Amino acid sequence: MAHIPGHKSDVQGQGVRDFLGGLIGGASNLVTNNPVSRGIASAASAGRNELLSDWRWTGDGKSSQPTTPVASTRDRMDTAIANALVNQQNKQAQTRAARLAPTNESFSLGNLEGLTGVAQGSTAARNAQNARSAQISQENAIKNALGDFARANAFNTDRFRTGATPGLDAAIDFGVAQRTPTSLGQGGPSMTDLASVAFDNPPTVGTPPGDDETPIQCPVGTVPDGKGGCTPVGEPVGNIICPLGTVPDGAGGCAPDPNFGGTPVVGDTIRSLYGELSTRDFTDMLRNMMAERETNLRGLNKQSVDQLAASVLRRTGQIGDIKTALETELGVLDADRAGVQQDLVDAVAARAQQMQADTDASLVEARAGLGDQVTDEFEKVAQIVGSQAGSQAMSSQDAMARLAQVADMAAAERLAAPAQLASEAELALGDEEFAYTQALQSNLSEALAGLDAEETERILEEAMRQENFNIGRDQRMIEALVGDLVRKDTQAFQAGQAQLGRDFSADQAQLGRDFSADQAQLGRDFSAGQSALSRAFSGQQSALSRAFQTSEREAAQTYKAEQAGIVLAAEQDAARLKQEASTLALQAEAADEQTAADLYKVDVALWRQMTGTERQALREDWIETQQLAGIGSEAFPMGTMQNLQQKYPKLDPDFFIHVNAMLGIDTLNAGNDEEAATLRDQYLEGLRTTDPYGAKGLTVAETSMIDTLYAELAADVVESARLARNAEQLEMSSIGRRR
Amino acid sequence: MAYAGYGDRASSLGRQTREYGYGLSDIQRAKERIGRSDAMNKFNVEQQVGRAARSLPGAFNRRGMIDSGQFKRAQEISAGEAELARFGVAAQTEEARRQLDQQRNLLEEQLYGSQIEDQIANALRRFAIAQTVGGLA
Repeated sequence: MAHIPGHKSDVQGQGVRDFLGGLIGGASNLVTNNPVSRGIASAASAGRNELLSDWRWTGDGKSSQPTTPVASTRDRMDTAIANALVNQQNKQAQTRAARLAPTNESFSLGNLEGLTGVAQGSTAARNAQNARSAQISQENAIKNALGDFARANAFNTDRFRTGATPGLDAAIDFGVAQRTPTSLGQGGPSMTDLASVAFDNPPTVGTPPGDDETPIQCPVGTVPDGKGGCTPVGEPVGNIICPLGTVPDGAGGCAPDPNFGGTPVVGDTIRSLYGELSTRDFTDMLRNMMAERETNLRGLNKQSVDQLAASVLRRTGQIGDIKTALETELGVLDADRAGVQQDLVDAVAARAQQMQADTDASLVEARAGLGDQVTDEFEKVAQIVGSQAGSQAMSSQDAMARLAQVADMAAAERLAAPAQLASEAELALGDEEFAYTQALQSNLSEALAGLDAEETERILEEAMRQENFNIGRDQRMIEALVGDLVRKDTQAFQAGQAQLGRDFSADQAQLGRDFSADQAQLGRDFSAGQSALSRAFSGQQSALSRAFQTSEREAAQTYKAEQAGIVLAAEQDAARLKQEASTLALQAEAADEQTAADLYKVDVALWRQMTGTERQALREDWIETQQLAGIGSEAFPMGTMQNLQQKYPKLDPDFFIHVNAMLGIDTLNAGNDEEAATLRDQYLEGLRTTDPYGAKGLTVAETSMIDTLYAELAADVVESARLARNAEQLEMSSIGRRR
Repeated sequence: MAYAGYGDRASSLGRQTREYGYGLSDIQRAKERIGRSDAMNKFNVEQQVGRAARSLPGAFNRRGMIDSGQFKRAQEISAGEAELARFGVAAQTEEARRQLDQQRNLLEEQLYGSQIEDQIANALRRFAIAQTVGGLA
């Protein structure tokens, strides 16, 4: 059906086209920061245009390629991209491809046929198609790898990276690797490859695959040939299909693809990323801070010392001032004191001189009044008075002089007080200064000692913190490595599981086919054998049927004859037994009543009271019993429990069980009759005892009946043994006679 | 170190002033009393000397010895005794005044000594404050 623009299917396919366009366009938008990625993006964009146009043929399911086998969307996308690259970007490749596939549709069909291996035609054509299929797979692998790289490097645009947070960058890489769904791939690498490519190309790389070496920039529509050159797309490079990340080396093997994203070594990347994790060493900072604190302490101490010195200087000045003021005050007071004291001395001296002068004047006046003295009486007295007056005047002056001297001594002592007090004050001030200085120095020493201890402690804590950080980092790295190993193992397991699934499916299909063939053959063989067996069975069945009918007829005839004889004999025996029983009954009744009662095993008194009818009924009953049980030892030999039971058919069957048990006691205690009798009595006593689990107790009459039955049976046993011995003796004697 | 405060100093100054004033007053009063005693003693001595001088010529005249040498001798002895009496009064007065001067000297010594001690005590209080850096360091 030709495509009709605006058709409903076209509208429906638009959503798919938008999705694909967004997917590829998004990928191209995400790699714009990388030159190689931009090249990839441009190629992808061109491929997208062709893909969209080509998708119009196949995407709606109603395009002009109805003959294309149903393939997955991924296959169709690969085919469409390959066709787009071939048709639009490289005419030469298109020409070469056209030589092998004249039309685009048949080329795609050939690709799919090559993939599915169902292409029909000549061997050469199939080989060519297989080769193209391999080439297409290789190209798809390359494209997918590039797409993966684009997706992985979509986060390499530093959009989410800070460059200073390696942990966050690693987390981004890991998240990209873990969360990039396989469905985004175009038949390319699985989740394993995506994770590995993303994780093994961390943002710090920031370069396209093979950037360390100069990548081979092949024109669009060509691929590297592994030898440094390019080969057109669609040109088979041998029949070698190389794994992802490798290209044919042209020599029959595979070589690493220089354009591929490098060999994924996640473990090395993890080690590298975690190796970037480091913590800052604050040891020097701690030392510097401690040194600053030491400097500050010394500065504070110096300030205190300076302040103390200033204080001491101020106090020293104050002491000097006080001393000076005190000296001044004392000087003034002492000068006043000295003045007053000198006035007193002067006054005393003046008065003494006046007294002496008055005495002298009085003596002169007395001499003048006496005139010429005729004796020395007056002169002796005058001499004494004059000398006494002089002595007293001198004494008064000397006394005041002594007092003044003493006062001057005291004054000198008091005047020396300021200097002494100032000296003492300065001494005390010096002592206090010394004490303060000592205290400051002691405090400084203690603070410095504490500072050293604290510095040591802080540095040790810093070292321990760094060690803990390293331990934690190593632990996380180990966890990441273990996680990577688990992831790889899981992926390998899943891959192996998938491979096993595929192998299983293939094997199952093959087994199914084999089974079907074998089943068909077996069916045929079974049908043939069944027919032959059926025929043989029919023949054998007919023969057997005839033989069976013959033998059955003969057996039936024989059986009827024997049965008639048996019946006749039985009837004869029954009649004979009945006759014998009747005879015995008549003989017993004819003998006497006791014999009859013993025969019928009833009391003789009872027998006597019976009427004729009753005796008739008892007789018939006895005869019938004898007929059924046999007479004598014909049915059951004497001395057996059955014989005893036949004799007393109307007794409780449990009685015979107890009789049998008592007989068993005799058997177990053979040769010890007393012990056996004791045990039998105990057994009967036990029968009379009421069982706590149920009513078992028998009456004395019932146990007496059991004991009577036992005695009869025991007597029968003894009698039968005696008869047997007699018969044996008779036989032996008969044998002896015959000899 | 204990030292006198303002209250102690004020009471001490009052006491010193009172003692000095009273002491000075007592000395002055004693000095005046000594002056009066001296004047009375001198007057009595002069009265006795005058009476002896007037009675001596009569006594020698009655004996008829007024013109003798004995009378002259008695006049010389009497003049000597008069001088001794005058000196005794003067010496007694001088001795009393010397005692007052000594008391005055002691009083002045006490006054200035107390004032100086007060000054020293005040200086000691200031020294006690100035010899510590507890309030400054």
